[in-house]
Amino acid sequence: MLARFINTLLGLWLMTSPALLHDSGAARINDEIVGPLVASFAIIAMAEVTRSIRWLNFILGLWLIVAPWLFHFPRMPRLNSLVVGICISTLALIRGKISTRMGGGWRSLWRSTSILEEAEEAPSVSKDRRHDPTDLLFRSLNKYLNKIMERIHGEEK
Amino acid sequence: MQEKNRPPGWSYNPSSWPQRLPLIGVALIGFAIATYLTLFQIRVIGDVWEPFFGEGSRAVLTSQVARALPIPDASLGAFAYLLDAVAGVIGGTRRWATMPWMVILFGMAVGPLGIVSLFLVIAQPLLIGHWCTLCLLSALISVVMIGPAMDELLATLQYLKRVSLQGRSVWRAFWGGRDRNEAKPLSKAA
Repeated sequence: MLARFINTLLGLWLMTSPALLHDSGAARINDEIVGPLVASFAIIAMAEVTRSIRWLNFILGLWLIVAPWLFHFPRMPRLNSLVVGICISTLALIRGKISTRMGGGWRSLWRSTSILEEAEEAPSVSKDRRHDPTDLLFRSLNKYLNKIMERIHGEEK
Repeated sequence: MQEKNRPPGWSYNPSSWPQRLPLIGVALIGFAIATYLTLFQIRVIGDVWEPFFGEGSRAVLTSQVARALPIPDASLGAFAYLLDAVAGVIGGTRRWATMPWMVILFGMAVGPLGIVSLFLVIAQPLLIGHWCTLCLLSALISVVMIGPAMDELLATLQYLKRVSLQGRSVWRAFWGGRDRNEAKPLSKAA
């Protein structure tokens, strides 16, 4: 939820920054198009049933990273686009909590087996999380950071 | 009571009133805003409320984009919000199975409304060069509705998929019908 909320704010920032930073040309147009899209996708992805929409923001974040070089943004808008793009893509990777079961989700609509059978053996939330590569990445990252923190605190003693 | 109405494999019922009422309420707020903007566009009221962008609202609401269609664009928004509210209110707490056509109509009203609003938000600075507070608020409302409305649509589509896999008529199920020789209603098979 927090990741989605911050991405909403970043989208709003993109909407307002061309006016605040006095951008013009391609940088302004790009931000004015991408900003509302990012904010909207982030809001839609807040719901668990449409959480996958976050991947659209992941793509838009990558676009913000490459756009300054494709369209030759001046220095300030380039920096803005780069930093905001990195933040949006990174936050979009966070899957967040899925606490409800929804009969196999949207994926079930393209499967040829019955949803009823799948519902019987519906995977638990924890099992589901184990298969999510981004979740795995963040948990191992977390473990690593914890180790570093332990070491720092150990040295202080 | 509500527990019994859950779709198979779901931990909650997307057609229950606690799930639907907030959406209906938000749609009615959207309807009120869009109606107000329509009244300005057809010149029933002479001025429009604009706390932040000065003449922005006036510029946006009287722009080429807003007058691209034969009817004012805010009136289309008002119609869509009203459709959201009406399609949200009709049907019981099992309507994902008993009234698939209504749930799909609801989803079809909520989804495209949000997409059109998003396009209009992009058009404001880009094509018109002004912002309009109430237009932005209306767009926000239509985008906020999308996520929470989609779970019911998913439950209905899963139901229709189930009907099709069991070799029954999807057409009949779409309109809420049941097969005559069905031992028990398919919607209760869980």
